[in-house]
Amino acid sequence: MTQLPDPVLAQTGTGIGARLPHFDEILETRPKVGFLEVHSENFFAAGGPQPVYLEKLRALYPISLHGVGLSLGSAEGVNKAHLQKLKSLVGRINPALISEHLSWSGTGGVHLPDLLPLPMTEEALAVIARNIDTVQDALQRPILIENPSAYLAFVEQDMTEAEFLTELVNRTGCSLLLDVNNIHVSAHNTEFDTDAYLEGIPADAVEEIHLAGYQVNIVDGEEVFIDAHNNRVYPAVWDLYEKALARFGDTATLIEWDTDIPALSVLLEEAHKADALRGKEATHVRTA
Amino acid sequence: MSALPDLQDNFIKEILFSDSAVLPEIKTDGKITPEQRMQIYRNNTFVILTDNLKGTFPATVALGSEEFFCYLAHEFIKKHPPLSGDMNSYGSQLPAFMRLSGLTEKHPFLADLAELEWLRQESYMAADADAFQPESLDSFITEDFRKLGFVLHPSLRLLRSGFPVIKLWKLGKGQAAIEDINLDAGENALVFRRGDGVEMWSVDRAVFDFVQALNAGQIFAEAALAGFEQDPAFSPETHFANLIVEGLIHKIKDHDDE
Repeated sequence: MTQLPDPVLAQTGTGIGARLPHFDEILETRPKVGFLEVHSENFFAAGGPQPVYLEKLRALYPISLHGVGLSLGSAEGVNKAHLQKLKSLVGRINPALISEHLSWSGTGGVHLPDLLPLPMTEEALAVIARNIDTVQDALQRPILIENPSAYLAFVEQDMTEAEFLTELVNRTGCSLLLDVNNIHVSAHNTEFDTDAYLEGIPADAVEEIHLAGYQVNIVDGEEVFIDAHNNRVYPAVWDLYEKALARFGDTATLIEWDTDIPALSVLLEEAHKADALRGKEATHVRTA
Repeated sequence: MSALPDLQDNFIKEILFSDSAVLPEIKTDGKITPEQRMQIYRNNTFVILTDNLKGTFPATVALGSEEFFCYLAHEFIKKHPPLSGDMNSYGSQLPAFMRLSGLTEKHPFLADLAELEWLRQESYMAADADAFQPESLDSFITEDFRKLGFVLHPSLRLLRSGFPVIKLWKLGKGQAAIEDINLDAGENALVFRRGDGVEMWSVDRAVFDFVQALNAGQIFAEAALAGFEQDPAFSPETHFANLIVEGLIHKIKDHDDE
């Protein structure tokens, strides 16, 4: 299938996370969104319907490949087989963006399906910088690194997360995917100041922003925010998003929703809200 | 603080086995305890993996009950956590775990049903391959092709069971009635991808052995013998033609396929 060149995503309308329940409707109705983001690992199959779906979506929209399984913070390094599958997918899809997380998921051959927290130490920084170098060398292009939601902080800490990300950008040349919801969730759970966090992020490095809804759990009478991606974006997160736009300028933005996935129209409403804050028309869709 | 490899090792042990070695590394200020914070990560892991397994083994969930499956999944996850970040490949060891752990001892058909569901998953994800298309089916099959071996479609999987696994799968999916199930009537299953879905054929032993032999790389004549051993009236040409029509023959085997 012919792949048309991608526009610069920051110049397009807000994108949405494309998930299986919406694929057919997206292909049929071609909603006006700037781009689609998919989880890379959902398209690792050697054949069958999944790769076909992605190629059909790719013919209509710029695609952002968002990984959740590379475990960039693992001290033992990046899983070579996983990286090879990602490289193969990138070769087939030629995505507009490739992103992964400031986190780790496994060690000793075990891989858990979660974005586990890294200590903000020099040792961890050296590990993840080395792993990002490995990935960028393999893919022959820079990737974006996303700040995850945190439910704890470690006793030992050499720097803040914003300082850690800044140094990571300096050492590897990676860009940043700033998840504004995750900043809000982590700030609540581990008690830091969101404004100071935004101030500490190098503005030129932010290429994408994520927005999503979280869930409030009560533990021992205390509110804990869970990054469940199961709700509309909270008002406090919209406020933080406006501050982020003011600091970083207009930035490619994505609405994520992974649990209790609603009608496609709900995602589009959220994307159009972001477009309104960005002063954008929801315009981009390819004519194949 | 532990060096990062130790910290990560202890973190995983805390999630899977509630080993407390990592807890002193976690900040204690704040409103909830390090144990409660780790519980959030533990809950994420077990919920995500249990949901993943439920999606791969829906009929096993239905026939074993959701409550039982969640217990089974919990024990399985501790014993066999994922080995990679590709969650589509998680669950291959569940059928063997069910047999070895004794957890499904009272309902031994569940392990075979789970095995069928895992083969469906493998089939769904398998590579694509063109179907072998002779110019004329009749002329191809009557020619001297008996010394040829064939490469079958990558999505083909085979399962012999002492239980009616396909009927049980349909029961679990609400496509069959319990009155139709005779637990003593085993089934031989051919599982393969057709279009966007996975197809299952219940075949007799002669057909099963014939296809199994072809799939193992034996030449047509040897595979035909495997069928004849089960049924002297077996017609390998007829069944070979069916395989071609269904797109299950990918190509004639050559030296590169050895």
